[in-house]
Amino acid sequence: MPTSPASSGFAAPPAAGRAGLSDRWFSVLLITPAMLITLIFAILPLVQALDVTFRMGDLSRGRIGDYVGLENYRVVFADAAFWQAGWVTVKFTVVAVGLQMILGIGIAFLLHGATFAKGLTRSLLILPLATSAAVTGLFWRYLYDTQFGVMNWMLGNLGLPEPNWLGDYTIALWSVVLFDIWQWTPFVALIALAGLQALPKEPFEAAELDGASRWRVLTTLTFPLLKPVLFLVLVLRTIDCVRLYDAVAVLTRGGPGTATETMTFYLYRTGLKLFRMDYASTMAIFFLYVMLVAAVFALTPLLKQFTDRAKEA
Amino acid sequence: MQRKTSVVVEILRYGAIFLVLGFFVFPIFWMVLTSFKPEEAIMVSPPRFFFTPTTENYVHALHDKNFLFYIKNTLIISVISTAIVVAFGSLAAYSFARYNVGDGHILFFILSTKMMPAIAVILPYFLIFRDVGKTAVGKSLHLGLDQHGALIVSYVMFNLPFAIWLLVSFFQDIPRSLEHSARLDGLSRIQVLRRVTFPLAAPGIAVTAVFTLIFCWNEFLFAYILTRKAASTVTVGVESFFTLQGILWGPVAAAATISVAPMLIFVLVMQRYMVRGLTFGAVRG
Amino acid sequence: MSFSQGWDAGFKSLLIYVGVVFFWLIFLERHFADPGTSVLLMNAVGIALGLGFFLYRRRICRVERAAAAVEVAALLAEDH
Repeated sequence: MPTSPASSGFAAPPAAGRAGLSDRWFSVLLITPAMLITLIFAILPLVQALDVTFRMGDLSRGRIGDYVGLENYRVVFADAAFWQAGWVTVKFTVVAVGLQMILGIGIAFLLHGATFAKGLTRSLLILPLATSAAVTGLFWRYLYDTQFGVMNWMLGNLGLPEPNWLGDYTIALWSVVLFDIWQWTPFVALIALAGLQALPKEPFEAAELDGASRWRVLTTLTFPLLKPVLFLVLVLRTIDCVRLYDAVAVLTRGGPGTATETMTFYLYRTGLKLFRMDYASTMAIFFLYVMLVAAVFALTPLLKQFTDRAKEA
Repeated sequence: MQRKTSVVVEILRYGAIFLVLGFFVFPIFWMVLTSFKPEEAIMVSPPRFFFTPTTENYVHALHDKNFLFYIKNTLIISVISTAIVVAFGSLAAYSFARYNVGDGHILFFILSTKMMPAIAVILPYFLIFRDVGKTAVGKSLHLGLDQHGALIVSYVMFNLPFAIWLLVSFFQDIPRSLEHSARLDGLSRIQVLRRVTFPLAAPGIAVTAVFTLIFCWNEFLFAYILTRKAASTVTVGVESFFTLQGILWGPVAAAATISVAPMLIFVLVMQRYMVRGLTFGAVRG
Repeated sequence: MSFSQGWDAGFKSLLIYVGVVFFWLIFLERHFADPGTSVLLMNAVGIALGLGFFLYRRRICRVERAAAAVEVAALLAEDH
């Protein structure tokens, strides 16, 4: 082979290299601090959690106990509430992410064509992102209030029905979705907007000359070119929605009943309210497994882009 | 490529933009407004837009509840966490971007920890910090429960993946040729990094710092579980208004406004850079 | 098979094994009278599938490598 495969970075000029440190060791040295933190604080807790899944772990009756084999997994998988929480999480994620993507992309197109007060609109749009779900979520309870809330006052003025946002078990989950949409649609919109503005000009000018219709330009040029950005937002938003905890904790606490109890909230309740560390850890491991499998599919195309660029010399 | 746009379309466009902005800004506006309302103007129907403003809610939050204490904690914890995340993250991201260390597998591992729900590791963290806090090293680094160190470590861990993800794309945008010629001029790798690469990547590093700071500032779960009083952050502080006779919306709004304001101002100042940095290098002709 | 490819295949094999375990516990175990047999069978299937995947990937890598070697040889032969 003519080139050495080891130095995929730029080869060190012979005169300048400090003695003894090859590219490979230098690159390893650079990732060491980050790796140490990740290894210690990701792997250690996981190993500990994995260990607990095979043991008796009722903290209300004392310490972590004997090994029970796969018993915890059997109990968790037979638990209807666990699957119910999983179903709530799926519903929430699909609806919230779907609506955020649609609305976000729509808003991006809306803003892309605008010429007036661009900076101001973007500044205002970015505000929900900067607030904490735990803080503004709490305040949204006031907005949702059936008696004093602004939401129902507005709906009432428009002659629309005034729902019991957080108290009605058929609506509560969608109220949390609405809050999440409020907080995160700007994120999707701003990234999509940045993507739109970074598109190359030439293909669009060519299409213009060819007299292509707007719809054709959109489907054959704009969306295919935007796909990487949109895929990335989709992945980021899905990760966050599946892990949703703060909004549920401050808005509904899983209620009414268990109508808004997502996987993470059920996990929290099992582990920290009922003190069943064993079941909680088992759920966490299962949860993580599902996420890892999803990561293999979702992250591989994104990573390939990174490694391909890193390889090109 | 100026297509003809009719006046009607333009009016519709700005009308729609106005509605969209109204939806996203209104809750924050209402929060700030409520924080200045006297008690008798809050729990009323219909909601009142006009009233004589008062600062009593702020007095309650700042004086009776000592809210500045939470702000101070949050500031210490999030600034230190952000500094560590940016420092470690930049080094690692540079290594991934230039040397492709680990051929994508290490990067996958680090990014996949972002998938980890915080709740899944919070109990092991609780136990780890409880035990570490009793050792000599843990004491000197304030790593025990209800101490700043424990939260800082957790935040660093949970923000590193996203920071590295962002930073890798920024470093890849810097042409290698610049580093190459600096190397030929006789600079060592570390000197190249310090004098050429990092200055060039400064905007990207700033964007990453902004995001990390926001995420740390707004974090709730770790702060809620790992602290009691001494190291509590603003998000937990706002929750503490819950327990008294129901929810006192006036003081809650005041506390929420205080806790959200620094990040809002910060974001308004940095807006231009944030939006630019957000495509993760995913758009490139 | 390079270390990098081996790592990738190994990681995915592990995921497959764990996936079999979860699938078995959720859907199949209830059809067994004796949990011991069930667990034994579960491990057998899991290991078989995981190992099978690993070997399959290794074969693909070898075939690709052989093809690449032939190509390089052809190029070298052209040069001379």
